[in-house]
Formats: sequence, structure tokens, C-alpha cells
Amino acid sequence: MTTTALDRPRSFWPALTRDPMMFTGLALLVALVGLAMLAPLITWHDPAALAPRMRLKPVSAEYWLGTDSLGRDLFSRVLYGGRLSITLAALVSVISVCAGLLLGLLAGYFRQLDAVVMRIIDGIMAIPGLLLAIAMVALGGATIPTMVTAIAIPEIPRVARLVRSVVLSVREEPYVEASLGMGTATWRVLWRHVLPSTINPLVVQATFICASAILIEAVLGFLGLGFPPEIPSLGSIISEGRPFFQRAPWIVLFPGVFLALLILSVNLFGDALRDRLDPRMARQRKD
Amino acid sequence: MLNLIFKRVLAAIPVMLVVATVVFLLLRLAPGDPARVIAGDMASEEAVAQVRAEMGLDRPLPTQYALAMGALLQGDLGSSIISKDPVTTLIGQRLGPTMALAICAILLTIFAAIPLGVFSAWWHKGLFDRVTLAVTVLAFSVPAFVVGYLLILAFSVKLNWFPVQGYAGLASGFGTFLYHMALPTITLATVFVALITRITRGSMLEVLGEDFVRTARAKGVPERYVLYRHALRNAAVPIVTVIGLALTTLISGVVVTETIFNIPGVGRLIVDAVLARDYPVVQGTILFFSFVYVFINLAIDLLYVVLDPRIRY
Amino acid sequence: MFLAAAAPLAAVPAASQAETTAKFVMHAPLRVLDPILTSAYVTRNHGYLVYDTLFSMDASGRPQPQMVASWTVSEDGMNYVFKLRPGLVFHDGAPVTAEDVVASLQRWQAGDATIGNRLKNATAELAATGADTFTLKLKAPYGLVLESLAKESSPVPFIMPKRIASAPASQAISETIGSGPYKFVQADFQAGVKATYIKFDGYVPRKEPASAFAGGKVVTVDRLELLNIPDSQTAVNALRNGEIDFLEDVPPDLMPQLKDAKGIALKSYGKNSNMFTLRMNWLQAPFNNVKVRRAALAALYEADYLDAQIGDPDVYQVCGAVLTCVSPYASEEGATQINPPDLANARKLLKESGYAGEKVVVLHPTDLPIFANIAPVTAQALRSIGMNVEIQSMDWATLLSRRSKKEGVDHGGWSIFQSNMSSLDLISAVGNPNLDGRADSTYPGWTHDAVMDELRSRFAAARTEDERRELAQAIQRRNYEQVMYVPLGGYSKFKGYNAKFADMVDAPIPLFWTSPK
Repeated sequence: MTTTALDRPRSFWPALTRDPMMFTGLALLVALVGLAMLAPLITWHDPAALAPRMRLKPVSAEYWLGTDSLGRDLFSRVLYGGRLSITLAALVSVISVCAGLLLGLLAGYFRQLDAVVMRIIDGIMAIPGLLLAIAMVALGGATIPTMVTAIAIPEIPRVARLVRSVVLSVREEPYVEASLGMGTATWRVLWRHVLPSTINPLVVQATFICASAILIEAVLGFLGLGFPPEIPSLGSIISEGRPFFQRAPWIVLFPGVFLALLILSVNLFGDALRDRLDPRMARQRKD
Repeated sequence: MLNLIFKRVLAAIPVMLVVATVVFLLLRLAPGDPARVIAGDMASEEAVAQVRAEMGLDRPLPTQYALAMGALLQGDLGSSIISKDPVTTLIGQRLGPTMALAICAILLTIFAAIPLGVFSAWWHKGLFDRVTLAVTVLAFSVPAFVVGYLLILAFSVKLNWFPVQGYAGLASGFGTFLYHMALPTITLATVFVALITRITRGSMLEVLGEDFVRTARAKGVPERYVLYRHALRNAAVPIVTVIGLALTTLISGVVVTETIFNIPGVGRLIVDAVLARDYPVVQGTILFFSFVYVFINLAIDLLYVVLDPRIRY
Repeated sequence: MFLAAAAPLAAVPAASQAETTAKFVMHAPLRVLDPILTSAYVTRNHGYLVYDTLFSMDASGRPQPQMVASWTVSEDGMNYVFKLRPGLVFHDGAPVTAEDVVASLQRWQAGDATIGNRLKNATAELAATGADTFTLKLKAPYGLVLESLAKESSPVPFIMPKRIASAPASQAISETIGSGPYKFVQADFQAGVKATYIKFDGYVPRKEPASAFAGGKVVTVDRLELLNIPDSQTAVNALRNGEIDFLEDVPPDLMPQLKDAKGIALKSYGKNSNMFTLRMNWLQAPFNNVKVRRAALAALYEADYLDAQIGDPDVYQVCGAVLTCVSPYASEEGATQINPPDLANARKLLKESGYAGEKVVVLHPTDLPIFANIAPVTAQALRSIGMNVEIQSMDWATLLSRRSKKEGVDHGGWSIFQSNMSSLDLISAVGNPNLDGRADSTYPGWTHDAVMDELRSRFAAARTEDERRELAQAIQRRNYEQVMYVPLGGYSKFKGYNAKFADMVDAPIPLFWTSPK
């Protein structure tokens, strides 16, 4: 297996310490993800437990981030919400990358399928992602499988295109032609020659999809189309806090800040990752 | 050239068909019943059933599809189940505010982002560049609704410089128009400005490193000239590409911004329609936006020929 | 850049000097204009602007003549003859005739499942006898004729031109023409966004002072613009800034922001203007078993609901009266939910009822802030006595659709839903949909109880106040014995408005006219 100098990732740790952006991004990400995933261990209030007489209380020793309009502890809700966002983002990433990879390989490698697949891809890309997600969640109901599908589908076209362009360029390489000429099976060619070239761009793309997924889930929640309020999700916590924005701004601000920091850290990390793994892409547009 | 145009246009048609089919399939499988919403809380079952029959929601799926596609070809996007107005009329009524918002955001973006990007690239790795990079990443990350509410809190509620909501068309006077448009434009444009700044910067960096720029400088061409005539002109292609492709982001942003500031545009139309299970309006508006997207990208494709003589198909 | 340019240019658009305009915001967007087709409150409010009624309820709950000038009732109470006021015209200039009245009443009766339906069943003949006279002949004595014609809750018997009222009750009317104090500007209407009404100069108000829905309706505003602002905080801010003049429903949590605002008045619609209600599905397990219903009732506590949703004890009222606490027949008998629950007892009741862990699905609307916090309280209360509860959240549109499904919860059905109803809809023993015991009752919950049905029929036929009082008490008892519905407490809805419109009549719903001077 031969790779060009551009494809081989440079060694990680020295790069990390030299680049403050990447370091900050990663550190922040680890901190936030850690806090969120460890939510059951860190928080002591049940995020769903109502206490009507403790509603709209500001920050206190008992309630580190205050309470919402039902008297629920905001600290545990924000952390659990973060946990949900991160899990959702990871699932969306994995699914859209896998689906996009498959489609891109098919389109790039098999000329007959190219036209059809690309038309479908173009069609889906033409529909604004948020609107498609809104329509899908509205019809499927706000369950985890539906949300994951609704957010993943608009991301698939970009991944597919990316993979397809990589496949198209790799396919022209002499060693691939030679391999085919020798009678190597298609799947082997794909596996040994084509796939490795897609990994780096895909990893970078995956991080940006994560950021995008977190944001879209929050927007859906904000518009009232996301997860049901029993499930703490950052977007719906903010949406529930809207009518109380001036009376109890912490209900909007704390999840908002957490959300912004989470997306920020993913973006920083993704940016730096792209600069390291795929300098070729660094000059291309960011989606 | 004409051949080129014709081919491009032809290629757009199957895309639209795919869009139409996707949208049609999606919405037909929804739970929720618009007949019931219209009839209200305490209506009898028979009344609801009659409303449903009247609105054609009880025909078999393939029949509905054939009818919908046929209508689409005639430019008929259906009628609202609730208000009976044709979707095209509803979009027409609401298009003004959305277009105004979008155009203001695009103008703000162009006048803010391109200079920012150019100067960042020019003073690459300088303080300006670093600050811009940091701010743009931040701008991507803070969701539009948080930005919007912060702006409202600061500039409407506390300082009272701008209204908290609403829209005033140009007919009420340019001053009034801007007064209502200021905060929504900034909210909508934030992400876009960040995006275009980075793209401009990236594109300029690439071009500034190219041979022909070095040649121009070596020849003694003034920096200003290098910047505008040579660098920016060539950097324009990817910038314009991104503007076109990022239109979908703009449209998504419009939905949130219109919701926050209560602007009666097409974005709010679609959210209201989804909540009310008004199938034809949702379908029609998505189709409309997609069509706009395809059209604008088509225009951009053709614009390439003007901007970049290297491109010939 | 924009800030610098806009600040000096900032000027609020001014209406023309001679014309007064008022902008108002209701609790929900106006989409449907037909007040018979839909019972939605916002359409009813719209109806009061453009239509007029034969009789109207005054502030003490008594029907007063509105479009009717005089009427006579025969000795045996079976024949009514009505004469219309002179000078009544529709917005298109045509005079209001008895034929228009008859057609409108018939359409209303077809669309009104409770009061209108009962009147229809009691009627032998309803006919126009002259240009301005019409008669109503009953089959049997019916004590609520005038109350029915004065019905203030939706659907309201508004009077429309015959050509419009001939449309079946399930088909939307084609035009909005009425004989009310405002004219509807069709060209300005954008469903869910805005609507415009202008003063109708051809309206001749009665001479009596305005009292709730009754009396003279004098319009002092030339132009009324209805706007939709979905976010309540935004709406409150808009009111404070003078961008709007009237806000129908000010959330209790935001009232402090308006209390000290200059030039803004905050007024209640009256104590107990609205109530939260809880309904169980009698057709499916577990609530098809009255013992389970009683056990569930024993776990509920009004204060939890009211604290969670309203928050301010000055604004809410703990009330267990099934006919609301503003009814002359109010009583708290049987309403255990007004006191802290005895959970141990409730658990015992549940065990004894034979409850076997069946899933209870509680429907929860996500897009209506006025009762967004109610369902979670129910879920927590029922779980605390050992019931297997699942909250299913959906927007109101889907909820209304789910609510009508009679199947079990595993097939898309439901067990409990909650509502926020106007006391106007609950106060009538005959009209309250929750107390409908008929076998073919259509209000979801499908509470079939022959005893309750009989009590209501007797109430409708009662001629004396004492009789009615006794029957109302029996109705209250029966409701809690069978648990047809559970009132979860009442509250006073507040309106916020620009102080310059302070002379608008005081009524349980937004009405935009003043008393004759």
C-alpha cells in the first residue's frame, strides 16, 4: 500500500503542544464531554424531578445553575442535555459518514451508478438542511432514531461528494489501473487503494458534522420541534426558557453558553485537525 | 455558450424532480391530522371527517402523487389546507420580508466579510489575522438564537435603540425599514460573515502565493493593484461558489431569525405550517426554496465563465 | 455601521393624524375565520368583532336582548315570538332579516354539539314570519331558550347573511360579512400573521350601558390590527415599547415586568376566568375501571399544578367546583385534589382496584406555554402511587388528532389529557363538555353515564332556581363519584394594554368596544 506524503498524518503530540488553537479546542472538548458524560456521577438532582415551589430560583449552593420553571435543577439538566447532544452528534457523524462513504464509493467507482446517485445527492443537497430536518422530525416524531436520521440525511450528500471526488482521483492512479489489469477483485481494490485515501478527509468532515449536528438539534429544540421536554436537551431547555428570558435569564444563558462552548471546541479541534491531516483540504471551502 | 446554458438547465430538471418526490413522500407519511386542527378543540368526529374529505386527504397515495406532480408542472404548488389560499400566493405575500432580510444580510456580509478576509490574508499571521480567526470561530459556534436574544437584551430592552420585533417594509420609509431590520440582519449575518471571511482569507492566501502574483510584484506593480486586479479577481471564484452553496445555510438562518424577531416571512410560514400540519404549504415552501437554490447556483455556474477565463467546459 | 445610521433615523411609523389605530395580540394566531366550523377561542374572539348576536350575556350571567327588540313567550312556555331591532344592517349594506337569523341559527345548531344541539332537539319549529319577526315553537318545555341564544362560548350563535349561512356547518364560509361593530378587511388578511378590522359606521348600538357581552357597543377606534406574536416575552416587550396596544394573555411570570410600566395597564378578566382540566379515557384500561380513576384522583394535588404553571398565588385559585368557582352553584364537594394528597391512601386504593401495571399515556403539548407545565405534574403524581406512566409529547395539532383515537395505548391511543379551558365553557351544567354523559358523546374521554345525562336533562328542563341548585349539587357529586373529569384549579387570566384604551368594556374575553356615553 503506497501513500503519498500528503496522506500520511504528521505525528500528533508535538503538533498538539505547538498549536494553541488545537490544544485549547481539544482541552475544552475533553472537559465538556467529560462533564457531560459523567453527569450521573456529578449531579445529585434527578433532571426530571419537579419541585413546583422551587421554580425559577437563581444560582445557589443547592442548585448550582438555578432552577427552571418546573423547579428542576438546571445543572443536571444542562449536563444531561450535553450528554444527549454529544451522543446524538456522534451517532449522526457515524451514520452520515458511513452512508456517505458507501454512496460516494458507488458513485465514484461504478460509472453507471454515478449519474443516478449524483442526481439524488444533488436533489437532497438542494433542500435546505434545516427545513428537511424539520419536516422529517415533524412527521416521524421526536424520537432518537428519527432525530438521528433527520439530522444525518442532509449531511450525507457532502460526505458522498467528498468521497466521490477522492475516488475519482485515486481511480486514475497508475497503481490502481495496474491492480485492475491484473484481475484484482473490485472490493479488494476499494479496500486497499481507495479507502485509505478517504479516511483523513472523512475524519475532518466527521468533526464538522458533529458541530453541525449539535447545532441543528439545538435549533430544532428551540423551534419546538425537538425532543420532548421530559428529555433534557440543550435546545429545548433554551426554548422553555424563552418566555422567562428577562425574569430568569439563566435558563437560556447557561445552556446557551454550554452549547456555544461545545460547538466552539469541536470547531477548533476540527480546524486544527484539518490543518494536520489534510493540508489539501485546508485550502478548500469549509462547509 | 448557448449549448452550455442548455445543458446546465437540463441538468437541473431531474434535481427538481428528486426534490419534489422526496418532499412529497416525506410529508405524506406524517402523523397528525390537519382536519382536526381546523375543526378545533370540541368539534364532533363527523365534522372532522367531512373537513378531511373536503380537503382531499382521504385519496390513495399514488393518486395524490400523480396529481401533485401534474400540478407542479403547471406551477401550482397547491393550496393551504387551512386558509385555502394558493401556496404561491402565501409565499408571494411573505416573500418581501424574507428577501429584504436576506439581501441585507448578504450586503452586510459582502461589505464586512470580504474586506476582513482580504486584510487577514494580507496581514497573514499578524494580530489582525489571529483576532479575526478567533472571532470567526466564535461566530460559527454561538447559535443564532443566542446571538439574537443577546442583541435584543442589549439593544432593545436595555438601550431601546431598536424594536424588539416586527418588520416594516420599505414603503414605510427607509429609516423605519432599517430601524426594524438592524438586529435581525446582524443576527442572520453573523454566521455568514464568519464563513465568508474565512473563505475569502483562505482563497486570497492561496492566490497570493501563486506565481503570477509574485511576477506582478517583481514587475513593480503597486500592491493595491496586485490586491484588487490580480488576487481578488481570481479569489472570487471560490468565494462566489461558497456564497451559492451556503445559501442553504442562509435559508436555515432565516427560519430562526424570523422566529425570534417575529418577521412575517417565508421562514416563519414554514414553521407555522409544520406545526399546523398544513401539508401543501410545507411542501410548496420547501420546493420554492430548493428551486431558488438551484436557480442561483445555475446563475453562479454561468457567472464563472465571466470571472475565470480558465474555465471552459 | 447600521447602528450609527439607524439611531438618528429611528422613528416609529405614525398613523394618519385623524385615524386612531390599535394593535392587539391574542393568545394564538388567527387562521380560521369561520366561528361555527371551529370552536377555537381565537376565531370566537374574531367573531365578536364582526358579528352580532340575538341575545348577549351581561356581567351577572343573565341573557339580555341584543339584536332582538322585543319578544313574547306563551303561557305554557312553548311558543316564542321575536322581533328584531330596526336599522340592523350587514357590512355589505343589506338589511338583516328574519330569514338570515333562521339560517344562521340552523347552521349554529348543526355545529354546536351541546347547547345548540339540545335546543334543536327541543324545537318543533323555527321559522321567519316576517321581515323582522321569527318564531320558535318547542316540543317540550325548555328553560334555556334565551340562555342558549345568548351563549357566549364557542361556537357562538352569530348572525350571518342567509347566503353565507346556507353553507353546511362542516364547510368553511366563503366570506366574512356580519352585522357587528367592525368590518373585516379581507384584502389585509394573512392567516396566522395579521388581520385588520375597521369601524363599521352602519352599526347602531343599543342605548343601554355595556355590561360584559350585552348592552350598547360603541366603537372608538377607527382601525384595529390583529398581529400574531408567538413568543410571550417578545409580546410583553412590544407592549412596553408601545409597539402594540393590547395583549390578550399576559403570562403570570411576566406580569411583574408590566406592573410598573408607564402607561400600561394590567387587568384581570375576573377571578377564575380559566381552569385547567384533566380528562381520562373511559374506553381503555386502566381508566375504564372507576376504582382506578378514583385512586388516580386521590393522588392529585391542585397546588402542585398551580404552582408549576402559574406560580403566583395571587393569580391562581384552588378550586374543585366542576362548574367553576364563579358559578352561582359552585361547590367543593368531593374535590379531594384541593387538599394535599394522602398518598398512602391513594396507593391502597390503587392496589384494591386491581390495577395490574397497565401503561398510562399522558398527552403533553409542547407548543402552548399556557399549559406546558401541567402534564409533567400529572406524571409525577401518578408515578408516586405506583402507576406506570409515560408522557408523550407532541404539538397541539397532533395532540388533538391523538385525542380522538379510541384505541388502546399500544395502538396510538391515550389515557389522560389535560386542557386549559375558559370558565365560559365550563360554567354551564348543560354546556360543559366534560359532563356529557350521553352514549354517543363526542368529547374525547367518552364518559358515558346515564345518571349524569339524566341530571343534565333535568337541569335543562328545570324552571326554578332551587331546582337548578339541587341538580347542580348532584352533578358535582356524580362527577367525583365517577371521575368524569378533574378540575385542576383556576386562575385569573390577565390582559395588558395601553392605558389610553382603558374604557374598553370589561368582559371575560377581549371585546373592543365601549359603553355608550
